[in-house]
Amino acid sequence: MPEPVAGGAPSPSGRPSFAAEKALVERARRGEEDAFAELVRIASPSALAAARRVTEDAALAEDAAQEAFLRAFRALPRYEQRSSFSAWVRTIAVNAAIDIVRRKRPESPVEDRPARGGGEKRQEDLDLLRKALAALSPVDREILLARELEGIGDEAIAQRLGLSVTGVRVRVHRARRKLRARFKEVRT
Amino acid sequence: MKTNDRATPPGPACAGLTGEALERHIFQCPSCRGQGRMSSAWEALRGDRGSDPLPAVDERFVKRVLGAVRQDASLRRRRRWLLAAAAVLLFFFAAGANSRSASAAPSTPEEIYAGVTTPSAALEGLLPE
Repeated sequence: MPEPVAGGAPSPSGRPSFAAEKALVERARRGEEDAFAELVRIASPSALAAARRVTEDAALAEDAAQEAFLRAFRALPRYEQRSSFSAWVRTIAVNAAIDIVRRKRPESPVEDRPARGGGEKRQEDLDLLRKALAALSPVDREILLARELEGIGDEAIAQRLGLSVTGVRVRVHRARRKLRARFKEVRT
Repeated sequence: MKTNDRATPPGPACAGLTGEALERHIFQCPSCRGQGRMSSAWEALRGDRGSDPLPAVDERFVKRVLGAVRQDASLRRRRRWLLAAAAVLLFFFAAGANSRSASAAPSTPEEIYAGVTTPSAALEGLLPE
């Protein structure tokens, strides 16, 4: 996962530094629309790409990403910047995309699909992961996405969700077991 | 920032295996196969493999988000105003009802006792002569 670099200068990839991003977040918290617009410019490519991987549809991905930015804007006062703004919004976008797909498309069992190869198999795995994540409770899903997509630790997740660290670990263990069971069921 | 142990391939049963032995094991072991597929799905979701480059910034999308944020903020502001107005109305209603019942209620114990013992005029009319 690409992370913002420490310090004030932009990273070689053209992404803003962590300090610059933090300053933008502070300004957006104070209600400066320009700052939030800049944050949207920074985070929207990865949020849209991740949402598109889940939805396989450009319009649904835009809906999910927009929803993610709205949720992020509302949660800005509580955002602790344990991960980069982009990683945080991407996690919210994936979560929103899973919800949108579940609402809009009736599920078809993955096991019924014919055997595929290459990129289609990758998409099939993604599809399976999406369905497995959709079957989890919202809290378990949020915890797993924060770990896997944002790469933040149990303590940070516990603080974010108001849970105990042990509670987070138990939920992670349980959620992973459910996901593994889902992947084990599928014939290759 | 602390990173943690993400789901990593392969499963515990094939730790240490490499090359053909690993392939043979994965072919036979549904658990390791499932673990491998799950890990590759997470990688694909994160875009770790870099197979699909990030799209360029779309100014139309940025405008759309800012419009939605503005609309949401104004809706929430209006909702806050309505809630505050409802709270003020409720307060005045409760205060008015309280002062009315306070002025109507007997204040001293003697008045309360008199109210209990004195039959009302309506009841008096029902009693036989």
